[in-house]
Amino acid sequence: MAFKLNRDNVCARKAWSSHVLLDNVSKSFDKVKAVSGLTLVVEKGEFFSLLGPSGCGKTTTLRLIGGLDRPDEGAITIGNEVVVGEGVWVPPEKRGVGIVFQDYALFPHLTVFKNIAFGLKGCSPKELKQKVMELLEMVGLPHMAHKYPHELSGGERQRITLARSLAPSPKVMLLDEPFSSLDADLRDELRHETKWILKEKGTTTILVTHEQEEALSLSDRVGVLNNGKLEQVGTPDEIYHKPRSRFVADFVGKADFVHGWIEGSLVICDLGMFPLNGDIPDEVRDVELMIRTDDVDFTVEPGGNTVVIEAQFLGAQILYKLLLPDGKAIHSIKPSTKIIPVGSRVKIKVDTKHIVVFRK
Amino acid sequence: MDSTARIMRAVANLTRSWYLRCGHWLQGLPVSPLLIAAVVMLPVGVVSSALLTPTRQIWIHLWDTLLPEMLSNTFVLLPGVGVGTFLLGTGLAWLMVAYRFPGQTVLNWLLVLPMAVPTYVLGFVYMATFDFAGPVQSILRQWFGQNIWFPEIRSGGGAILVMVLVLYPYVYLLAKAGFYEQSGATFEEVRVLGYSRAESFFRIALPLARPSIVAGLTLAMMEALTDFATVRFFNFPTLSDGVIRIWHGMMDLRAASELSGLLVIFVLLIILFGRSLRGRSRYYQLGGKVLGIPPVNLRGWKRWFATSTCSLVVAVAFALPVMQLFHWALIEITRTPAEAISVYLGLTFNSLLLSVLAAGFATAIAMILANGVRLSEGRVARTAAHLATMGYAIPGAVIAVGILVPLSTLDHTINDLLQSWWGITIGLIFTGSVVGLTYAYVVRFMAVAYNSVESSLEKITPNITMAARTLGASPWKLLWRIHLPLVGPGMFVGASLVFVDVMKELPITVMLRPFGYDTLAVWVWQMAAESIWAGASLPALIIVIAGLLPVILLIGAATPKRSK
Repeated sequence: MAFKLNRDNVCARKAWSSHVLLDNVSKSFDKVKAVSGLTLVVEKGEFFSLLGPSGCGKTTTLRLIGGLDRPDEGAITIGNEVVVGEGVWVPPEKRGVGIVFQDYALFPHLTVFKNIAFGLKGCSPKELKQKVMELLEMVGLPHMAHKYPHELSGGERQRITLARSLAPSPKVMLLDEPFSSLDADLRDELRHETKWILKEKGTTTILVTHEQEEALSLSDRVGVLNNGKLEQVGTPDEIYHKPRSRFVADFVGKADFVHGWIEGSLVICDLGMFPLNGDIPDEVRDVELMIRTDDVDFTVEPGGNTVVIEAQFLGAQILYKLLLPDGKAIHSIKPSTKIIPVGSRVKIKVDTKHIVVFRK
Repeated sequence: MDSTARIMRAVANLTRSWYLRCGHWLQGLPVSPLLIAAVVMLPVGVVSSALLTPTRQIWIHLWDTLLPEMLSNTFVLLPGVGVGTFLLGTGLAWLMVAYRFPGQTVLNWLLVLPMAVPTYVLGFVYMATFDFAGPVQSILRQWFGQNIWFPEIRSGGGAILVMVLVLYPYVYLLAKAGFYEQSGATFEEVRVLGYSRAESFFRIALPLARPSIVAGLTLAMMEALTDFATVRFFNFPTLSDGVIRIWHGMMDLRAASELSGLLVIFVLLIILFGRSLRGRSRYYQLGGKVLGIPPVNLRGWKRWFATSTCSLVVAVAFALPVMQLFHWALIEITRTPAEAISVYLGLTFNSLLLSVLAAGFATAIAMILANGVRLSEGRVARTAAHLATMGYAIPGAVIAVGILVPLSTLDHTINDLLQSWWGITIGLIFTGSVVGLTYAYVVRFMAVAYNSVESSLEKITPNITMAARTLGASPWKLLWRIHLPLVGPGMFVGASLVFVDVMKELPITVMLRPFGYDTLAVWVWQMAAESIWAGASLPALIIVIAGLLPVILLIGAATPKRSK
């Protein structure tokens, strides 16, 4: 009984952030596999992103963790408790997860105050008021308590939704593309604000997004999903510079792929010879090299064998398209402090540190 | 009767084998929507099966007596009402949308008021006014002598006129919505291409509004098909009237149900007519978004012509008849002794009781249905919901017969069994009480309740439910704190619409009421049939006033806000 009381009294609850474990989880909808054999550990207090194109199963994964859908196979553990698995099913209201939906899903008939107070069970009126006001302060909207959701702007709604889901101190916070319906300016601001609020509270967070920039800039670690399977899990740096599959290389960051072949410990391609780093089985000879646009540099040289054929102005940087002697094109990104006109003859230099080789 | 027993046995068998063989399947099936659809569709099924197993003698007899006249009258009435409501409704809607003239804002909603008057009420007022003994003809005879010619009001033309005046608002409202939703750019494009305003109307505005207009026409024609009282007043018996005559005159349930089957075919004809005219764009909506066609200020005599045309329609369809009712009602109240007034109190009580019962059940069932559809999110459940809301298209007389057949079988079976087991008679439990009536009302007006409930349920996105659950809400808290507050207003609107519809309803009430159980509507019909106008006026007035409630709600929902 004591245990139960403790569990239901949200006000007495300290942060009880936990790790999340998915063990071989699968889920199909009408015979279409949305998630297949997903195994993943998200550490306590970690900010983890699930990144992938639409339809890759990332939202389904989130819904499975939150208990909004049941997996066909596999088990999910939050903290020390198995929430779904062999014969176990903990309904969403007992899981201690917080969710922020893309459309916010604020209760339209309740004021901001009552929205936030909704999840605060077992608090005295005084505690309730104090707690709600604390949360409102935290998201920077202390004067909004008595407004209704329809009176708020998009950014304010997002902040209130965050406050509402944080109110019961969830073990895990699940964010389902929460920034996608905001303006670009506001989005950036809110992304970082949200991250710092969650970091400060030490709440384990899983963010679902299809925007690589968002995943890379916010997360401690990123999992890239494709067709319901995890392609790679790693730090943003690893995902960007050491993609483990062609898909990850393609989806994250801008890169060109060049045909090459292996000679001993060297990779040879039209751009030159590079030392081979990483293991490639002996029998493989034909390969593809991934070259990031920021690893390609060039200098203007009248006798150069490469021509600038396009320059796309991006603000601080310019993305150049360069025509190689063999008729293929490659991209290079450079600061926009100096503009190189289209038609210039140039010479290419490639930074070999980050070149990644895939078998063809 | 045989076929009913067979159907019921088959249903029982099916249910049993379901439970035995695939009980676990039931979890996956949307049980409540399917069950509701089955209960609602039962009357239609009964009647249709009666038509599929025709009895020769019945049809020979019908053909020799009433049938040819009823058929030809129905075939005249439906197109007549269709054309009339189309011309009046669409014309007025275009006037409102495309032009500016004095008094427009007020006339805009005054033109919806005739909807509050049931056809049989306007019918008897017109009959009283324009009949041979009525004031109009009397005055004309005084002025021009005894042999003055006057068109016979008790005719098909009279019936059509009355129905058009009451039913045009369906077309008017929907056509207006259809015109409002159009993009002004398209309309102006056509003008730039060299067409006049009138030509643009026929080439662009009308075709684009066609789905809405046809939806309105379909509703108006279904109302015309269900009416039996007006056509009887005007000596123009149609199929609905025929069904009731057969039941009241001959107590022949078999003949009544076979003739009802024929009515179902007319319903299908109307639906087919709507489908074929609507074409592929089948959806329409009330309530406006972007206001399209830029209105033009009418000048000179035209502006006053527009104002007076609209005023005339309001006057003849609503204002004058209601004033006449007031006049009669005053006479009635002043000359009726106080104790006789209690008759009216009794009528009002009966009407209120039935309306509250039906509104409560219809709304509750609509809620269960909408919830079931929402939870299963499947094709099966949606189809079940479609079937369960079919009743609005089925004439009241058909529903009444379709309910009488199984319920009287049930009543007699129960009585026979009790008689043979214990030797007691308990009387007719279902057909002799308000149970059958309530059942029939729920079937007929389920769509009204369902649409209101469903549209407010849409406000609760699945994410709202899920957000509440992840915040730790128990199912009860979810229902009380989130779902009910959000759906409550919609349920209330749905319930009040059903309430008023039941108050006005006549064919079902006349056929299924327990013996001697009079309601306001029944009283109006009986008094008017005896040409006791003053006696009919007070209950009629109460019905009209109650009927104004949904009309006002409708005006709010269907009037797009005009930009200033």
